[in-house]
Amino acid sequence: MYRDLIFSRSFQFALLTLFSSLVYSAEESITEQTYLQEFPVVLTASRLSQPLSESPNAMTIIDRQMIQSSGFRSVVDIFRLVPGMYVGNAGANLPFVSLNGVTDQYSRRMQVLVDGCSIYLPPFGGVDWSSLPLHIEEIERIEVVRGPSAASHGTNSFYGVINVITKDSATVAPDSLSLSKGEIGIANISAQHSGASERLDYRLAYAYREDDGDNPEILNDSSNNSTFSVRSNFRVNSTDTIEFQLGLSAANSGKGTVGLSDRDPFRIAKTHNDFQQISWRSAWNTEDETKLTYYRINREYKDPQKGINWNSNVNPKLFGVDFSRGLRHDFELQNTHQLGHANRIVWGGGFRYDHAEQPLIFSSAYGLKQSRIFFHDEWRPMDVVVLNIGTMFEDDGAGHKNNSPRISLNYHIHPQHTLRALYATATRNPVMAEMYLTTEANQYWKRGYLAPGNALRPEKIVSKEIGYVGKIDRLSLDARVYYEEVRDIIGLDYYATLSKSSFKNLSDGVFKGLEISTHYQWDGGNLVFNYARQKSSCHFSSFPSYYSDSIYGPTVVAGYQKDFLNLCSETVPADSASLLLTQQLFESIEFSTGYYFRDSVRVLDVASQYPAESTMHRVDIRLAKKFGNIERPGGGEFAVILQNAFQDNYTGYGNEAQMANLLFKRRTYLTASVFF
Amino acid sequence: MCQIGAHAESIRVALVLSDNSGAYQVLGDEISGALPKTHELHLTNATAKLPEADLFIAVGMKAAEALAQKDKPTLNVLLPRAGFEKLRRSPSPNYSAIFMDQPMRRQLALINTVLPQARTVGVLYQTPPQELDGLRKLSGMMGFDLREQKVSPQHPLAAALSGVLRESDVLLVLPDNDIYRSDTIRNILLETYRAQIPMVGLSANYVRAGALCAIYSTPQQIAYQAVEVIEEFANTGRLPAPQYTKEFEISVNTQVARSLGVPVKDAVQLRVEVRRHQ
Repeated sequence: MYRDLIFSRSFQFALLTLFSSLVYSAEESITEQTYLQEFPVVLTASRLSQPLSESPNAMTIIDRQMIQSSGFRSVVDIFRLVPGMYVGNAGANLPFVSLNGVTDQYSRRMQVLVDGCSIYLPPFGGVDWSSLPLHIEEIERIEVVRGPSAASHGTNSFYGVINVITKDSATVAPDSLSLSKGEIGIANISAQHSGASERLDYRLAYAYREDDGDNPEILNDSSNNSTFSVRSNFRVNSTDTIEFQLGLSAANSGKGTVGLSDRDPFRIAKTHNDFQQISWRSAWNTEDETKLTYYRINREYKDPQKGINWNSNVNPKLFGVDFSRGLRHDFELQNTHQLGHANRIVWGGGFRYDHAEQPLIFSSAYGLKQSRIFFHDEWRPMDVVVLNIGTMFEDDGAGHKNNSPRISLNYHIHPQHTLRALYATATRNPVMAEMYLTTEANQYWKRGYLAPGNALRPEKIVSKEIGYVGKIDRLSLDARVYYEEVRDIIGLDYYATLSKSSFKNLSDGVFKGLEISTHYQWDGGNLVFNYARQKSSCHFSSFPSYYSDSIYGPTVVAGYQKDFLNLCSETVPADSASLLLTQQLFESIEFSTGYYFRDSVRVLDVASQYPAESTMHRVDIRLAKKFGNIERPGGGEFAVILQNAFQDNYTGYGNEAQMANLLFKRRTYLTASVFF
Repeated sequence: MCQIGAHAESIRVALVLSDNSGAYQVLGDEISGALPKTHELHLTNATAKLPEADLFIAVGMKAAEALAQKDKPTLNVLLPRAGFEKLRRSPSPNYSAIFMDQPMRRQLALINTVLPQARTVGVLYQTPPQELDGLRKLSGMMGFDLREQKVSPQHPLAAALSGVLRESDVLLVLPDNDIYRSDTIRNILLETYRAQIPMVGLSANYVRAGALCAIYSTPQQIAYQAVEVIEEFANTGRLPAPQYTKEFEISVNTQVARSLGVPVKDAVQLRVEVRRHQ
């Protein structure tokens, strides 16, 4: 009761002071108190990011304005603006993203953080982008680290890191409402409300999005997702802040393939996600800070009618409920210290508990207790040199202990021009699915699976790169060439036994490439251009079972040659590029257009009998009419967005005959946003 | 730094503090420590009865107000120029001050030194501050383009701030009790950081909170200058004209500087350069 009273009082206070940060009282005269007044530490050490010119890795930053100009309505599409990043779709409701090759639809080799929470979840790894409790309108900025960065971003920062930062409730934002409606059944609603007082601020966001999918004549790829989130900061005193975040989502995604109603009927799978995060930041003085964070993420998935018998002789077919749950608890302590003038140190450690269950494919529920410590020093031996040295030690709880060091040297040849050399390593621990998958043949999949358990070793990556970051007047340029070697890539040992497959550390890969990213700004407009050239190659580090068997050997050798060794180089597009142009046409009209190009590419689990994804030349156009001050009370915007304007028939990911022709159809939709 | 006249007459000095709290006490202690013992020093505060003295040193606004009516030789310290101008009805020879705020020329010189690329300087105010006219002229002379946003009920802080951040290379804080407060500074600093626009504050407290830099004078620097003025009064019987501090400190938030990609210079070197630029 008493607690309720306190809460409601502070809440009322927060409401009362909403946006009334200015009290229009009689003018207070300027006295010495104007100069002597004390302030809380606002820009604490962990809030300040390294500038690109001093960052150890190549990084792409996509801000709110770019997201807006792109016209994208799904989060994954934003990654088309990252040089070299692959955005794939196994139907409209199953998107996935990856950097580098040898990826499959689970793209397990990237770290994905949302406000510091790792959302790469057991049992499969990867991210279920379409059901995330994250709406595009909530995003303030996305930082994408291109290259291994375990020392800074933790486990699984292998090919790169996606770091999504949502709008802080402490920044000024009016309430807003946004509605979209368009072709292929597009309907979006999002609403945000925020408030602030001297000690407490909060933001509430609700969003709903749905569409009917792209390819109803091939499969059921419709989806909808409702998300609700809360962000709040409570300032205990001038140095300590408690941050609280909570998110919920309920998503329905269509499943089923036309013509396969006997084993893959049209149905709706439901996903529920929720997360809670609480962190305490304490600034010791201007330059030192301690941050303690706990978060919990829970994902539950239920497919009501999963075909569980692929044997063509069994009639009628059998169906079962496919339920899976992934749960993570994570606890982390991070300290940032300035040591003298030359060293800034970040160190800390954490524990994580991962739990997964999925009765149809695991013989029991599994839990892993992981632990890690990390250390990073940003050292300036000279004014023009920054050395980033760091490492992470981890124990994955499944018998593997890894050390992932990274060192980089940034040399400012001029205040505006920096050269960077990087040597970085990272480790990817086997995910639960790779270790524990156990199914009978013709049951969940056609092949049965055997669990290799702890015999699987983590994958290791070593990346070497030379980069440049520079600015000439209003043009900024970022380029890098890299050479990455990956050892012990976990792949499918197809004939672990004659009837079952298993995961095994099968191959080593080499990825090399060149990436260029430029940004040019002028009065009333700007242009972003990205280009990447990539190459990948693979060879066996350990041969698959039966590879040299006198009877089955020739079949196994031929199969791996055709579906793995020959295809490895196709797992990256040779060339890819993106361009985003934004131009103010008149006072209140903004035009933007995006062009996305990608050479043909084949995700690793699309076998040779299916065509690769064809070359993409996609053009999106957005025209917006603004009224009032955008993002200010009374302001708003009306926009029309045309995606794939010239109907380029580039195909999506398809590892079944029926899915070889998944298209992204041209669609128009309208968006209206108001701020009040 | 301070030349203490060997042949000064001995005078009675009354040091009147606004109250006995932090900043007044610190400055009072600095002055009494630096004042040659040849002079007689009375320490009192604004609410107490004033002692007999040849020269009164008013520390802070409250003390200045208490003494403003008295028509006695008074040196005001620890008050901004705006506060002093309000109290001074007409220029009088024995009514002077050492301002705690920094001259605009010095502030712009700081911007010139720390951010040599900066061309447009943004300012926010609710009531046009006294310094504004001077600042307008001076910024033109020093090659800056001044962008002003006036905050009003029709044009709230959030809108004014985003307007000024869109147009400026740097946000210069002008004294304004309604805009820069402990409950608004958070939003302001987060927004400036989001826009990657550095803020130049009024004091070391601003820098601690997240401003890029600030220029200010320490109690010790003010005290030395006050003692110089006292000595001059003892010798000539006259107070010099109201003046800004001669000595100053610069404080830089190196973390913020690095994050904003501003080359970090050593504070001593900065002071030398600001002195040269101003």
